[in-house]
Amino acid sequence: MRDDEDLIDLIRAAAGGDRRAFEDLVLRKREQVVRTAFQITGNLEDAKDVAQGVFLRLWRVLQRFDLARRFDTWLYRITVNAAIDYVRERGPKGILQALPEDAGELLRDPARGAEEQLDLSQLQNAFLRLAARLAPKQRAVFVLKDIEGLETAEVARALGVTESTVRNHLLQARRVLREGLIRDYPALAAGYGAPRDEDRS
Amino acid sequence: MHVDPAQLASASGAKRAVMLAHLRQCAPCRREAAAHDPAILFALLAYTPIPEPLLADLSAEVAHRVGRDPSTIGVLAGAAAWPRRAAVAAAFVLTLLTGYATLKEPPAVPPSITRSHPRADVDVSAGSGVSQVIDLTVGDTQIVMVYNGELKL
Repeated sequence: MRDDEDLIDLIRAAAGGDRRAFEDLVLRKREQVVRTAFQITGNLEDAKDVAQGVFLRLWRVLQRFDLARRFDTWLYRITVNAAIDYVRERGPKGILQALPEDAGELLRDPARGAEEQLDLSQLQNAFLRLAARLAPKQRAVFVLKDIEGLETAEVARALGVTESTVRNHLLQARRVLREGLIRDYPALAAGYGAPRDEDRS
Repeated sequence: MHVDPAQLASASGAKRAVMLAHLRQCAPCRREAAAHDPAILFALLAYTPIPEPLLADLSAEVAHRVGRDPSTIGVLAGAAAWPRRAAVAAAFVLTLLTGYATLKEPPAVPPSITRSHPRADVDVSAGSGVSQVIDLTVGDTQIVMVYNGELKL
């Protein structure tokens, strides 16, 4: 699958040294990069550091990008590798960082009762706690396939593994997360909102 | 329209985006998806909001760092990079030539010619009459020249 012409033009200009085009490319891809890095590092500030490194690296190596390939797959690959390296170097300290207070508001529907709401910030924090039990590659596979929505073949290309490996990692990651949700977050696991983490016994 | 949880788990692209958008708003579908596999709900983290100030800060820092990175100008310039490549190649060749000239062995100095004593295994007085003997040593080679008008070889 090829990228759209606008993106290809932007990449070509940025690879030719056009800083304005590169800034536009950053603007277009920054949320995707930070979000992916956040789901792997579990910390927004760390995710920002990772994203900064990713874009600076991108500026230096963009001329090597093959325009016949899909840019997002390439960018996901750089991002995931950078995030995994960052976590390895950082160690287990400071892994979790809750989302801003209003994050859950995005999923609220004022027409429905509180029991109908799914609090996104609770879901996000539950994921960060449970995903800490996954191996880095398992976590990366889950993030790319089930959160970012890439196809299995794309995930395999982004991570440099076979599709069979992707499927195995995904099965294991889903099982760990499913069991963790049911055990630790029963209301979320039933599709409802839940008491906040600090209210849980 | 309601979301089939099994289809959502394997969907991608635009189709998945439509299903997620519905799941985001529809509590019954979320409950059905959760009953199928609670881990499916994590797909909604695609909507995780990233604070705008953090993104703006990121853009500013990247722009600042890229602006201070003159080493990449030209390297990124694609076809316009050939003069730089030519300069690098010329410098490389010059370095090779200079190195060769510096490191190659100096020209061999001709061995000095010295007179030495006549060799013991040459009997220069075997002939009758007067002989003149010139004994030269050139490097490792000893040359003995004998002049005797009556000497027959």
